[in-house]
Amino acid sequence: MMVWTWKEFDNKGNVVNDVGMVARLLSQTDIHGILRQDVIVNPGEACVFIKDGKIEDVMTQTRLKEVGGGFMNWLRGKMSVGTNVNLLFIDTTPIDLQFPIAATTKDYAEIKGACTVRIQIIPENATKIINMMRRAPVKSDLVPGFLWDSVRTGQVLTREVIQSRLSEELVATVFTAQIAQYTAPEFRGNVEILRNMENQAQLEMRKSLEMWGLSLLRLFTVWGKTDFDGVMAAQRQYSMQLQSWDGVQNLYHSGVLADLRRQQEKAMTEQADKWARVRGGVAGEESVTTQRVISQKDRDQIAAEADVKRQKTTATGLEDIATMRTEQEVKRIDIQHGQDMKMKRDGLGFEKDKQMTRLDVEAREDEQDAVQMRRLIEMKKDMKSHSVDQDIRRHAGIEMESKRLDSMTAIELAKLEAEKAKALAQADAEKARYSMETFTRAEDRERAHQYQMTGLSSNMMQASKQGTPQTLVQGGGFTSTSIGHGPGGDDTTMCPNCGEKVRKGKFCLSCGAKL
Amino acid sequence: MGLMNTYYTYVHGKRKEDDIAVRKRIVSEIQKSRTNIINMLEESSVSKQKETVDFCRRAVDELDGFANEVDLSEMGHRYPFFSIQRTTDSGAIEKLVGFDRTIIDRMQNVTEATLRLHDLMIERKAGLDATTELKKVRQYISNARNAYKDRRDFIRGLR
Repeated sequence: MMVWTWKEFDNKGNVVNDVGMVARLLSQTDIHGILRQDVIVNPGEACVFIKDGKIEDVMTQTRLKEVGGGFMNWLRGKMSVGTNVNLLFIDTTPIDLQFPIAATTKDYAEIKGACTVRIQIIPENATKIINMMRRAPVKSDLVPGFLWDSVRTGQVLTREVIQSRLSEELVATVFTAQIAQYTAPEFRGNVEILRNMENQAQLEMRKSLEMWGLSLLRLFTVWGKTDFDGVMAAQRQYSMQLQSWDGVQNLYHSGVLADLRRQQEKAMTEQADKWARVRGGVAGEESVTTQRVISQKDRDQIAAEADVKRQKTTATGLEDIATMRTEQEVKRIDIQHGQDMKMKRDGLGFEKDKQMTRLDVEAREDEQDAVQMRRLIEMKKDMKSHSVDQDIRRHAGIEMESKRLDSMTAIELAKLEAEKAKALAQADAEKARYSMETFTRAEDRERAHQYQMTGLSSNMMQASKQGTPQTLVQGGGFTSTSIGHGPGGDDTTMCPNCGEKVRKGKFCLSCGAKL
Repeated sequence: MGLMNTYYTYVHGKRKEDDIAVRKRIVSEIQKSRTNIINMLEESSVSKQKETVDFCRRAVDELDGFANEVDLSEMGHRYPFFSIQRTTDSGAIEKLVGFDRTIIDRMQNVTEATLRLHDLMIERKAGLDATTELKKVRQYISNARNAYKDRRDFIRGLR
């Protein structure tokens, strides 16, 4: 049994007359053939079975047997009997559509890009694609062949048709709206913008896509160069060129400038020496005029040396920059530099004359300075002596104050000493009160006192007794002293404690110590 | 499990058609879930919840991948069951039916979950962490997808 597919392929498997066909509506009579044919619906394809003007079924990955017409069916069609079958074949694989973008950013910079929109016709909603097919623009290309007949009569839906349908809506609701929210620098490598655009497309295009049975799988944009990028690139290029040029120029001029500086310093030193000799009378009869003549000669000589050095430096510099600059540029730089050198040489001569004049002026200024310095020194001396007087007075005042403070301190010290002595005495008294020794001594004194009292009492008792009267016999061997004591002999003794001569007894009558 | 057109049973000469019916059912559930998630994406986009929008997109991507997988997977047997060329035992048929039931149940759960989540988002319920919930939804989808892979592997084994 022969099979029929809705896309025509050549022997190599390529689609014949590929016009980007996405869907194709076939009537029963379009499937040519006298013999019966089976129709194959491959993976990634769907077939809407329309029977008698009604959508009956949506089929995928199947083989439709004996629906392709054939002689019998054709014959039935001619006789206006039987059923009318239409088949709508749809490509259900993801389809990439390219949309050019040209919009203005928030900061009014032009931005361009290519947006890829990946859509898919969902097999479940495949019938909705009829909405788009019926209104597809009719092609008028005069291309022979069966397929092109279909194209001309609007039976084929191509990618172009879908693209044209979606384009304006995408531009209006997604591209322009989203791009206007960002500034030009923000577009560089910003994934968030792409995500936002995709989300926006999902939301804004939803109605249209669902109407046509499409599903938006992905939307992404490759941005072209913005004006900002152009400016930045130009700036970068300019900066690099400038750096390169600066490097060359720096290399070239640094040597020359160094030479010039050395020469200038040398000339100035020599001139200063000569002028010093003139001023100091070392030069003898050489006048300032003579010096000027000599310096003019020196100047010429220096200029000649500088020229030679410059030529050498130029030669060296040329070797270095030969790879970086063209000959014209080098020549131009050389000419320019020659002019610079000339100007600098002239400047140097003028500088020397100016220095001569300046030295005269400086000499006068030095004299004036010396006078002023003398005045200043005198003034300073006066100020210093005045300052010394003030210091002396200040010191005298300080001394007096010091003395006063000393006397006050002495008084205070005396007061403090007195208070200290008093406090010490009080402390001693307090201490003595509680001292054990003092107590013992007092006890001893008390005991001695009692003993003394006892002694006195016994004496009084003794005195109150009637004793034998003593006869006073005057004669030799007796003194008045011995008479008083009677016949008992000497009854006194020396106290070992206090050293007093006391009457013999157990205790000393003077201090109370044991005898 | 809901009713399925032409999904009567695995009978002689009907296996391929039944397989298509099962797959159509799965794709249908995927489309329902996708619509719900796109609604949530719109909701969160309006309220400028970037993270939620991002996770909605990821869930949609997962669903698209699943739909593509279902659409372009193997049909099943080369020959009808109980044909001269091929015989199949009831245990294998039972297992296949089990796979179909599991996948469709899981996808129905995903549809229900997305619907409820959208409800909560509309009501702006306090304490709702939409991002976490979307992560879970995505996990459910992956789960169903894995079950479908198991089914496909089983069919491959049957051949």
